[in-house]
Amino acid sequence: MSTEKPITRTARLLDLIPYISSHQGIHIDELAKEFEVSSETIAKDLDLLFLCGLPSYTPLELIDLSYEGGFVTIRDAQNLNKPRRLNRYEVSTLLLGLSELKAMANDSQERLRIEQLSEKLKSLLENNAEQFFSNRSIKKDIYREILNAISHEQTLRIEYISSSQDKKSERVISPIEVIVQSNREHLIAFCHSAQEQRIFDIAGIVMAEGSNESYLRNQRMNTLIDLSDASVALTYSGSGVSFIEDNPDLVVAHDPTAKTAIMKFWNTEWLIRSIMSYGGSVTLLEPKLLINALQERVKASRLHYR
Amino acid sequence: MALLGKKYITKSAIFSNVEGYSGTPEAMERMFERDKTDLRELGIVIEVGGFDPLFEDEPGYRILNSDYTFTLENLASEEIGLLALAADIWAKNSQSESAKSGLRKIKSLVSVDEDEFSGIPRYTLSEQNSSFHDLWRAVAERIEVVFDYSSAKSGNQSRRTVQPFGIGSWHGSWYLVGRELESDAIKSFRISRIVGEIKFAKSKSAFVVPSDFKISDHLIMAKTIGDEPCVIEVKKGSCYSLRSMAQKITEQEHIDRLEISNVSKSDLIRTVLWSGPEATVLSPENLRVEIEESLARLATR
Repeated sequence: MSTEKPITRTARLLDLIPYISSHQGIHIDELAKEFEVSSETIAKDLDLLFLCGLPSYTPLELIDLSYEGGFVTIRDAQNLNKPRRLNRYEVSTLLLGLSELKAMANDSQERLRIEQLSEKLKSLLENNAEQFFSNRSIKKDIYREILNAISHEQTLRIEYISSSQDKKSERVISPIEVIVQSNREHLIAFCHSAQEQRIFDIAGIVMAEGSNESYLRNQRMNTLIDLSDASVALTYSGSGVSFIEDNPDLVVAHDPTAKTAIMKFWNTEWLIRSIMSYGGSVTLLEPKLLINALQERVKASRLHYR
Repeated sequence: MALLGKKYITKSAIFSNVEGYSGTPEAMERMFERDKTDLRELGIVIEVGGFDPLFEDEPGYRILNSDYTFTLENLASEEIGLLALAADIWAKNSQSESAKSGLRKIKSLVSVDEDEFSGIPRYTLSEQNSSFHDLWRAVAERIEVVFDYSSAKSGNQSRRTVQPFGIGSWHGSWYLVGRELESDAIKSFRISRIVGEIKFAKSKSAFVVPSDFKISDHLIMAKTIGDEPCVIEVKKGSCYSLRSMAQKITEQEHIDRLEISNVSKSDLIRTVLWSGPEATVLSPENLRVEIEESLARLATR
């Protein structure tokens, strides 16, 4: 408290009033959590607010606030019950968040509503420019089902398009944990269809349906993923550098000057398909076996274009 | 707090009533000026004017309520919910003070059901992206930045001075788009290729983001193929990623025909190549040629 700047406290005092107004009967401990200070600090703030009001200082013009048993209510907030205006930084943060939500929207109607809301916010910045962009390819509802299943320890039925093989499958899984790997959200889950632990790229889950079936997490499942020891040597040019940047967990060695790297890989099919998708800006140097497999596929693909 | 009233209040009344004002008149004057600056940072502008009849001819001070309060009117409860969600995406990130305070203000408009956003993918950016927050602030507050950037093409490092216009993510990677002063051109920078720290310009420069600026125009990979559908033939029981991009699938005897429009061109090319011999682009011709050339490049290596 002693190290707190007066302005920080003023800001909190100003923000407390509208917050309590919309959360009547909130407990001091909850306010403390929301404002990230101790409950004692909140109590002191409330004591001060109790003495605040508008000039002329009759009791009628004081903020009327009570906190019996730790539960806070405001009966008369004078004219302070509206939150402070959003600053530029906050508006930008909201716009950035809305662009994420738009990318994750469930349907075009929701996308439209988000766009309209963004326009309203932009009017606060007095600029019509579109400054934020996101293409997060996760559907909001699917993500919610997953988190729900994790917190309630329930199983999920999913439809999954694999990111390493050209396969679509229906599975029953018990989700364990969401992790971020290679800049993408992945789900570690026990797959009942395969009877083993698997990792799913969440963007590849095209349908998720919760069930009431619960599962017992009787032992902490191993969340460490064993990568095979297999590795390849490659070289890249131009945009091929993003193959290395997008898969930081797989890089064993990287020489940006020589534009070469050694990388581990999940499975052969994933590797060959990924390298093909770079259209020549990533080139395998070793091992010979994989180079041959890649060339076979390239040859077969080219037959369609002659 | 007293300044939020309808009436003006005099400096002497502030000095005698507000805790913390003490010392010589000069000292109190300095404190008052400092407080005014601090308040401005909170979004509060002190207005001078109106003479209180009780206090001879001393000027009074007050805050205009219309300047101070939340100005987005007529928000539907659903919109407030969306704003709360938007803020919440970032609020768990320890560096996102603006997300936390923004969320608090929105929650102060109306009590928001917390369960509503229990299932939103939140961002926690890793250490290597600490420059992200600096750039984000620079975009929000329009501050010119200087950084060293390692070019993907040449692999060389050079110093760039940028007026940051916007920030965007593409498949989980973040990009800054802005006017680079060295070349006087709008460029995009992959944030992870920035080397070392971001330096802010000393004074807040007053550059303006052009009102017709659209960040997606400057992210090459976000360029879409447009309304004209691409026709792609795929083998049955294959090419699931391509199928999930298609607006129309026509089933035929041995193959299926996909029609895909309005997707990122670079994503489409990659997915076609990823699918290998199971997919063949029939039209348009320019896409067919691009695939052909990519395959030729792959073959010569």
